[in-house]
Amino acid sequence: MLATRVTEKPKLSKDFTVCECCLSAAALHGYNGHQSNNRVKKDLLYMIRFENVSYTYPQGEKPAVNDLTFELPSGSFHFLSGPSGAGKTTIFKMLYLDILPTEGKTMLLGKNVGNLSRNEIALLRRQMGIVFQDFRLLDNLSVRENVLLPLTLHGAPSAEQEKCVDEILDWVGLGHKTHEQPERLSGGEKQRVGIARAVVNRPKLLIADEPTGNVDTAMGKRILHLFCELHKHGTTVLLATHDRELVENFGFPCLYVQDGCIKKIIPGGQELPKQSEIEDAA
Amino acid sequence: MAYKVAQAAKKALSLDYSGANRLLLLMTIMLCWLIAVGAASITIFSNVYQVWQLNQQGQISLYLLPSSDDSEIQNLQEKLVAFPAVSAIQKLDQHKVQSLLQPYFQTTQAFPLPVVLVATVKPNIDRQKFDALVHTLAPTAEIDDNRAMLQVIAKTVNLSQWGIFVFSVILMGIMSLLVILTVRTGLREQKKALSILQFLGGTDAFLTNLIVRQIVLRSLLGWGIALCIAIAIVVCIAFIWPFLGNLLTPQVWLVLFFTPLLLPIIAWVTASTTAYSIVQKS
Ligand SMILES: Nc1ncnc2c1ncn2[C@@H]1O[C@H](COP(=O)(O)OP(=O)(O)OP(=O)(O)O)[C@@H](O)[C@H]1O
Ligand SMILES: [Mg+2]
Repeated sequence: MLATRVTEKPKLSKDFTVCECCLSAAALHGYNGHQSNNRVKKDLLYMIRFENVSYTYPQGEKPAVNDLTFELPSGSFHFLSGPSGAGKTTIFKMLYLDILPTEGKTMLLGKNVGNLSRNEIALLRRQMGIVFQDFRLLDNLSVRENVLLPLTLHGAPSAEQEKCVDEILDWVGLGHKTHEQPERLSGGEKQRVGIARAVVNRPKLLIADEPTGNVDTAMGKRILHLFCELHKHGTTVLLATHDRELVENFGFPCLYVQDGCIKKIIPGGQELPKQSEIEDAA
Repeated sequence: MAYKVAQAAKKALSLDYSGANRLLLLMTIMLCWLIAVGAASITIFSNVYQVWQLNQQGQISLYLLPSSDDSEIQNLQEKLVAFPAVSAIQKLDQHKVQSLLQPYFQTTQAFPLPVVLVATVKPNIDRQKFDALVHTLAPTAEIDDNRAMLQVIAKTVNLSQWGIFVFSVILMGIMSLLVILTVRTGLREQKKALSILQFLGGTDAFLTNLIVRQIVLRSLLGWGIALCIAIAIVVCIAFIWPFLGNLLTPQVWLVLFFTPLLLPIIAWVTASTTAYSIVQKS
């Protein structure tokens, strides 16, 4: 087990620049970077805190997550990487409270998730943006309606929010497909709808499972820029990816997961180690 | 709970896709119509019965021997008019007596006809004292006592009212079953949508409300359609048989409008409990 406290300040790589579009998307959200950042930091020190967490699937033989301990400070940006089957999605499932740990304690946004009522779980999820590896879009809704969905949980969205939805869809390159049904979209397009839906609600915590898995490199970067912009304005981001180049280019620390444990924390801007190097270190 | 629900959320958990939903609308129209027409008819029936009962209770016939002399009859008439709650007393002429007795005897001519006195009385008459007075003044007089017959008719009316009540309870049971069926099949088809809405932060109350409002709106639509059909039929009947039109008191119209509203109320209660339990289990 590797107990992890990730407090290192993320560094941006040299070629990272925030484009104007990104800023305008954030402005449409009504973000005020410094204020929002301070608010989150004052409220709680750690956005996510896992203490000796294990999880074994009912049909599983060995634990998918094994005695995992780590903390992510509020307002931080981390990558989660590791080989296929390492347990990244399982960690995410615990984060969006689809499953509860079979052992150990999980704290989210300062709350012990083991003691939450169903209503509190719902309210906690409203503060999160979730990008699912399998998209989870509603086929009977148009692209635009899918993205609007998180805003409808509080009543009818305002005109400003609706405009913001259109801006975000433009930003992820789907401005021309807002009235399309998701079943008529490609994998990458579906993924971008899922991303738009996750960020539309100004989440305090954004967890994205392989958000760039189905898109080309340029679009991957564009999506990462959007996440960076949210992060700059106070959102804590945890992003699972296999894409080494993305991790290395964007200069945020990376938690390397294998066999349900964090094997290594790679500081921002450094090259990801080879599989064999990690095994040797472990 | 948000009162104004946004289109996207409504569409997300729409029950339109389930066949049971159409069945619910059709059956609501039918059941509402049955209840409306049934309740209106029973109201007309009981109104007619009450008027008839008052008429019956308002008259007492006295049969005196054909040999009774005029002074005896005169005396009886005077004493009875003075009796409390008797408003008038009238001696029927021989023609009327003959026509009254015609159905019971084939050849009335062969017998001497009795003398018949008809007393018009108020409902608060003390029958025991009245009967006692008649017997002291004219010991051989027969008093026409229709109380037994009135009781039999009252029982029949009571029984038919109970019958209609039991029938209504059965209709309500059918309505509940239909609502349960619609919500269950509808939500089974919308399982994915339900779980996505939950991950986006939909509370149990919000999701239940999304389903319940669809059922309630549908049953209100059924009520409206059934009402239009029922009113059209009643107006036609009143047009064809004007004497029936006279029976349509404001009370009948009120019953016609509001009794079938019971079904949307039942639909609301059943849908709330069923949907809440399914949402909680999911
Ligand atoms: N529903 C399930 N039932 C049983 N075992 C499961 C289930 N889902 C995942 N697992 C197992 O748990 C382990 C971790 O799976 P997980 O999906 O978390 O991996 P991952 O790191 O997200 O992989 P990938 O990079 O391929 O998405 C795997 O060994 C997998 O076989
Ligand atoms: Mg995964």
